[in-house]
Amino acid sequence: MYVYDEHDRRLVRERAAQLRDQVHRRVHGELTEEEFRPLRLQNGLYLQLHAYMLRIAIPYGLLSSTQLRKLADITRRFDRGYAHFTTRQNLQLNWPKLEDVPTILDELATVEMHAIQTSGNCIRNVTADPYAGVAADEVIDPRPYCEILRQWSTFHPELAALPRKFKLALTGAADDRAAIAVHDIGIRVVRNEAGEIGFDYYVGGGQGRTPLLAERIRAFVPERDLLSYTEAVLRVYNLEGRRDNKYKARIKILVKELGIEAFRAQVEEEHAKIKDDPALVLEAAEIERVKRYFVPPSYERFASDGATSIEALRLGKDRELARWAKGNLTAHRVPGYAIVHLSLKSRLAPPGDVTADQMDAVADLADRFSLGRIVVTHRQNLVLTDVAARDLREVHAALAALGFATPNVDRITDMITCPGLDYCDLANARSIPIADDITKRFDDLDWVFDVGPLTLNISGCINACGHHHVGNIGILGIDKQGEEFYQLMLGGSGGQGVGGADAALGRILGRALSASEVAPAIERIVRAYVDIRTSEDETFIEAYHRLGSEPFKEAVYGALKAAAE
Amino acid sequence: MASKQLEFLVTANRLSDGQVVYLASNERWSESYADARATRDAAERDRWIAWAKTREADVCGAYAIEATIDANGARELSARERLRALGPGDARRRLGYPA
Repeated sequence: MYVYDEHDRRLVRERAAQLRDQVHRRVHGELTEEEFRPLRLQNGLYLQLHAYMLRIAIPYGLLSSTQLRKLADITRRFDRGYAHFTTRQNLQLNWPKLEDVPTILDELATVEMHAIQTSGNCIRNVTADPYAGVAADEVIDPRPYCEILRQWSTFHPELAALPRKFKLALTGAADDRAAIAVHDIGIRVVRNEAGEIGFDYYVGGGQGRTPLLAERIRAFVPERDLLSYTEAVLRVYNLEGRRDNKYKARIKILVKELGIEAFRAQVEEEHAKIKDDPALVLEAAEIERVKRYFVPPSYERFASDGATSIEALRLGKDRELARWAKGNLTAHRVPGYAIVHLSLKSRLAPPGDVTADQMDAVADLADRFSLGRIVVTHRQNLVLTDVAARDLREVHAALAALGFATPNVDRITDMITCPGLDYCDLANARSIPIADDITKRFDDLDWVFDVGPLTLNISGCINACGHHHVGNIGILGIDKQGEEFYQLMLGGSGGQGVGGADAALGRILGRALSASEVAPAIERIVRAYVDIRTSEDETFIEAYHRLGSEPFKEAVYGALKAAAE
Repeated sequence: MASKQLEFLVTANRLSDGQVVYLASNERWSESYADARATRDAAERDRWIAWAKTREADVCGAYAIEATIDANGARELSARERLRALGPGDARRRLGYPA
């Protein structure tokens, strides 16, 4: 993984020192809250409903075991012993004290981490396919390009005050596990017919109040032009994006209002001016320099390719192990290895939450079994990317002891769930108790498995941090006269990673439900799907596309109507 | 139908840790919702808010909560304010997750 150079180290140290001074001045009355707020936000420090929240950047979700141990240490010393992984592959501390935050940043700097640009109208943490570098279906490892974009965008003076926040996601694989279609910029790293690397480039996607899928702006941006093209997109947005209305300020609104053709024309015109700027041309030597940080490790060569032993686990008599091997393992590009999912979705904690002790234990497992690396997924799980097939039984036992072996990855209880009104100042409704209700209702793992791939995403407000628009089932918390209600949506998809569907936005099913009506409604939807699917091979989203919403609407609202009569 | 009676309270977050606090009697901030001072007088509410805005060394984001009074005289809060009033407990504890 990338290793900081002296410039990186100086940047993060200086930033921590600046915040220490700013906090001191705020506490001693030299800065008003109005003056202080943008300064703390530039360091990912929010004031939430009950406490401060610090959002720590994890570039493209990749952590070393050393970094994870440091996060455990910080969580234990400065917070309440647990933290929360987010859909931007970041980590949030829920209870830091203001005067501790500069020290937390100092501690993060010792392991090459920070909280810079995790808030504000700037380029946020670049996200990526969590299997980057190890996926069997990967064409190109996107992480060097993520890192190049991270360096380019960090403290980029022209991009420090965009009309609104800006999010990039990259994948280099056939399946889109990074949800690139719902990002301001989504990039698929590809090769053209001549074998050259380039970027299948999308703009204008996003969720929130106005959900839109990104549109392709160029099918092949040459590798050398990654920065110049991205800068051209950002320049057009910076100049033309709306600043008069926060709700219409994202690039997706600009692309929609101009139309992709007109937007493309402006970008191409700008790009023509800057594409040969030496500061922006991505030279082969620079690409190679960054790629050296992502050279595949020295994998062991095994006599067996591992498939036999993984299959043996899947067919074995130990049902718990078999279900886990079927559900939580993914093919690795190197024979004899597997990608292991750690499910952070169980009855033991809110989705995405991890305790300090669990972080330490996962770091130890990564060192023992997975080359010391851990990846955070945008679905709020963790991944051990490089586990030898021979170690899987032992890894499963260790994960089961930690509560991370629930075999539900990409199943209905693997819910993306934002912090909601339990923590968030913006939320309209609680998300975590809804997820808890659903988890309890679907506690029969055999049934969860039988239902098959089905994503369920919950957001506590229209900002859509819980990606409800792209869940096969989406749940949106709304405020109705001061009370919590929930809209159900069906048919969303983040990409081709789950259930075989292209990216799509869900559609509202009907009137909003009270909190107590939600979990029963979800069960009725799932039972309706099981009843009407053509076979066990037809996924929920495929059945939805075949039949539309009517059978599910009838299942939910017919039952409510009958109960009311 | 008679319009609902309104009652106002002033709340903020404590600067040092973000803890929810309420304006209590004797111009002090209390962590306890039970201590919150209430008024039905909009002018008094505005005076309290103006005062709270001068206390930036202690708190931030002061605002008035608008509560309705039901037929039994009980105060009704929005879901958001009910959760704030619960104090610094969190979803993990409320839902009985292991510590």
